[in-house]
Amino acid sequence: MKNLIIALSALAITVSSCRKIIDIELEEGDKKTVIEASLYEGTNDFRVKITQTGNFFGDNSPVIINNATVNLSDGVSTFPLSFTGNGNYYLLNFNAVSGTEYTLTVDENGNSFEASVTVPTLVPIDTITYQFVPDNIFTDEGYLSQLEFDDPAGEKNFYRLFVTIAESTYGGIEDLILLDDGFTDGNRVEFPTFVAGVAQLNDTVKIELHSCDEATLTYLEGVDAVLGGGNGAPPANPDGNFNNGALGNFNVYAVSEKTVVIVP
Amino acid sequence: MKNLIFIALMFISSMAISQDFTISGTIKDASNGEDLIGATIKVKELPTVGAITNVYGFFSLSLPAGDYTIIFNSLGFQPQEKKITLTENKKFNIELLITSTKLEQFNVTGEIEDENVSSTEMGIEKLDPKSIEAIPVLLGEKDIIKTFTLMPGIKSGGEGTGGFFVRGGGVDQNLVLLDEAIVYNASHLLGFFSVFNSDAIKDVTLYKGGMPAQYGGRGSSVMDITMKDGNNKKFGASGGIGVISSRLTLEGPIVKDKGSFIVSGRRSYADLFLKLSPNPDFNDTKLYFYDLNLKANYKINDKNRVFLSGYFGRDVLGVGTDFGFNWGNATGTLRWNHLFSDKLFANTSLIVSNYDYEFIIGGGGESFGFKASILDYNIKQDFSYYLNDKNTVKFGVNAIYHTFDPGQLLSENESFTPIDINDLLATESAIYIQNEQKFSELFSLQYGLRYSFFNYLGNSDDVKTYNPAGDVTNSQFYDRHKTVQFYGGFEPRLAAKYMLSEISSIKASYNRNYQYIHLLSNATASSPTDSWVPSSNNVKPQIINQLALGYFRNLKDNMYEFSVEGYFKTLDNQIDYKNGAELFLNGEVEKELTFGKGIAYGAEFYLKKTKGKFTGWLSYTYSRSLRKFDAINEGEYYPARQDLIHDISVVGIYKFTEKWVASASWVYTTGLAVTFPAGGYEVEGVQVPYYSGRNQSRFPDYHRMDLGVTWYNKKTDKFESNWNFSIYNLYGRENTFSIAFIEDENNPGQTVAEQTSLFKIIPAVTYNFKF
Repeated sequence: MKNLIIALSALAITVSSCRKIIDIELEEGDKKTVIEASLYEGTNDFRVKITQTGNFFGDNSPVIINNATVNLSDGVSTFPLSFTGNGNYYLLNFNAVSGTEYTLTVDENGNSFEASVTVPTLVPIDTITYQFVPDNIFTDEGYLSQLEFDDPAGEKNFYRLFVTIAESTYGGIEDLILLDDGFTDGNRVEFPTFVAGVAQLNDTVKIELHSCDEATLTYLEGVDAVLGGGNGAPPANPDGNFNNGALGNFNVYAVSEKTVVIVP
Repeated sequence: MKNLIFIALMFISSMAISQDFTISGTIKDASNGEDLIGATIKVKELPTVGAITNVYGFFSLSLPAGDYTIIFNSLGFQPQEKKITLTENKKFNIELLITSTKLEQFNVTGEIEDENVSSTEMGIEKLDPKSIEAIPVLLGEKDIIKTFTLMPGIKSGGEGTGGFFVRGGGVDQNLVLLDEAIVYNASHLLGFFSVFNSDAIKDVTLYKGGMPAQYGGRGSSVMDITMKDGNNKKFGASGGIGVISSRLTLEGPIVKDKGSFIVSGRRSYADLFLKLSPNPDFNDTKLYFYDLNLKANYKINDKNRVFLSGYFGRDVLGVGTDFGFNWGNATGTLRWNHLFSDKLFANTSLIVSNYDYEFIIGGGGESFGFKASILDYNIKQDFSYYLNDKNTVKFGVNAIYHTFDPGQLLSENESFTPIDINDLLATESAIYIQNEQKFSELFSLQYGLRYSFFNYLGNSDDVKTYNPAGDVTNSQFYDRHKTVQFYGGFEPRLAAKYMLSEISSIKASYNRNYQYIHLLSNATASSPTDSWVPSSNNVKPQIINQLALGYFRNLKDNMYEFSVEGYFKTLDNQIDYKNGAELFLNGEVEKELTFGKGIAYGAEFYLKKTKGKFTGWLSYTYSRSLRKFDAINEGEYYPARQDLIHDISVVGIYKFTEKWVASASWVYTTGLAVTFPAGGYEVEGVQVPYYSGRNQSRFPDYHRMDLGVTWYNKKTDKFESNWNFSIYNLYGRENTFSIAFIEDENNPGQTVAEQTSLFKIIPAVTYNFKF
């Protein structure tokens, strides 16, 4: 909503506003460890990437951490991840079970970081419908897809969406589509995918519904906020679930997907 | 409470009962019958004795029996002398004539000569719209708030942001009163203009510190705006046509010399230009604001007078039929002045204030809308007791009933469940007493005490208590209007003046203010969707203490006024959001808050030239405003956004002839304190900024020069008019509105800072008329 207001005020002042690149001084921050991990329900390769914060301007390629010890535990057994280079640590063909709690531990240069997640239950996509829309302020002329699914009642659910239209995908970290059932608990959710634009005849539309936990959604919202630019609100690092001040997050998802081809 | 009344009675009864006689009455402008605020009544034979008219033009002065020459005077008017033999109480209804020479009109502030040195109050700035008409402004739109930000200690949040900061306080710590009604959002068009139409305003006083005890409810400042009463001699019309808006004011007598009315309207028409655009995204856009000020008054007899005033203003933004957003204030004030005796003046006010906003998105069965509002019913009873020529006692009571509607969501889409967050209810009340006492020719003291108290009330709903982590620790059902939480506190107010010589004085003041309602702002500048919340079981009232010291001196027969004021403030129970707080339609917004404290201090230097062909002022402020929250910056002090360390304003007005007046102003301010990245890292292969502390960086410094020329047409009895030409940002400084970090076009993968600025050189022309 805020973005829309800013967009409108921006529109109102476009007439006279101007933009230019300027030099500004930034303070030097401490170096922080960054841990990116995403665990998917079912049998998948589980990857963890460990880096360190680097420069903001100039050479900003990530600083790789290659000497960490990384373990995943389900409370009964501990599974060590193997280092495969470039900051990546892998556990191949790991089966993550819905409802089970997993703890990820990273030991790096004497620091230990830990986060726990519980794998959510998959919420299936019921159907993808579409209808023709004329040119309007939100989209061009074309076929607007609508995702429909039944939100489980009586529990909090969190979702991340990916929409692929004719092989371009929306829903990546720069154009996140995030939902929660705060206003729609237990309802049939009908979500028109305005943000992804419209499809044309014979295009293939694929929608992935990633059910996630609250920490993942909070983290992604935080990332969305800091990537949104510096428009007044004091920005802050996204809140992740690792302890001891590590940046990044241990994300957890259960994925359902459906595909339709647009026909007249 | 009992104690307070007891103390009050004690100190009134301890004063000697005098055998004096009282002269009392009103002072008005002879041309239109407007009450003159702050007009002086002086006694030639007793140079240290005098009185000043209140906002209703009333004065009262008690003197021993004898022969006197009384001089009635007001800024811009010819003094009037009356010789009297005082053997009984006397009434005067004085009408003063405007000085024939226009020179006086360009006195840059609405202050009486010498008042800066001789009055007990400090930390006070006054403006009347007439005196600022020559100062250049953005798009030629006269704006009282923007002009105040040229004064020391009062700062603007920059272009495109509403509100103003006083002595390091937040936007929500300013009490903005329009005919006593609280105005919750004083900005139009997302902050480019204030809601106050200068044509309808008679007088504005801003207290930066040392507030008299009659004011309360906000921590940093009071902006008290009085609307014009309307011409009670003859019917008249005035108006103006400008680049951005047009104005029209009608005024006239209801019954000649007894009652009058004024209706003043303003509407902007930026959207009409957008309609001319060939781009359908623009020509379908609605973007305008309007204001309507109404006031009527009637003098029933010498002892009773009633006033009714109202304000209605709204901003409307819209794109086609798919998006609509509007917001505005509405206020109404009904007042009754009653004279119990020549010495006891009473005013009763019934006040309603409302602020609301609403937006609607989408159409055709898919739309949803959102509404939120705040509504106040307010009753005030104020007394002024003009005990004798040494003591003026003011006392009164005030009660406000607040209804906060945090929001309701209405939707045509079936998958949304409509949401209506329960209204929050509260009462805010106060009782005060104050005396201004002249101890000697040199020393005077204004001392007062205000006791304010606040009840957060239940509304047939569960009230939750949260711990600092945001978890519910208690939940209890409260019936409607049952007290959930009570707060109360004493607010001492003190101001002292000591004359060092006839032309110089030192002053000191101390004030404590409680603030029971708080603005939760998504952005740090004010926006129409900011929400006000009451103090509650989770949110404590803000408590602000201010100590100030000043030196005042006039030079060259009051041609120059100089002052320096220093202040130190402590701010307790300050509120901020936790990182990543969810505000929209959140019925549990209190768990997203974190609490801390702050300090602010500064020194304000002010040199003003008040007479002659060339007038103007020079102002420099050094100030700091710091905050400390456990959850932010690891509990270290950090600069508030409005920590604008250096602030310079230069204003010059030169009157070439009766017809031509030119003016120029220049401002310089340290850049706003903002949070910029301290490094970066990758998330899913995309660079994300890393922040190490709040507000550790700065926007580039802000500076700007404006120029204005006003040409007055020949004035006749029937018609007068002028043309105002102005250039905003004369040298085209690209001041920062926002900074975004984007990928460098020339070096993909690298980040650069891109600055957006709003206004380069903006010329404007306005035509004003009056008949």
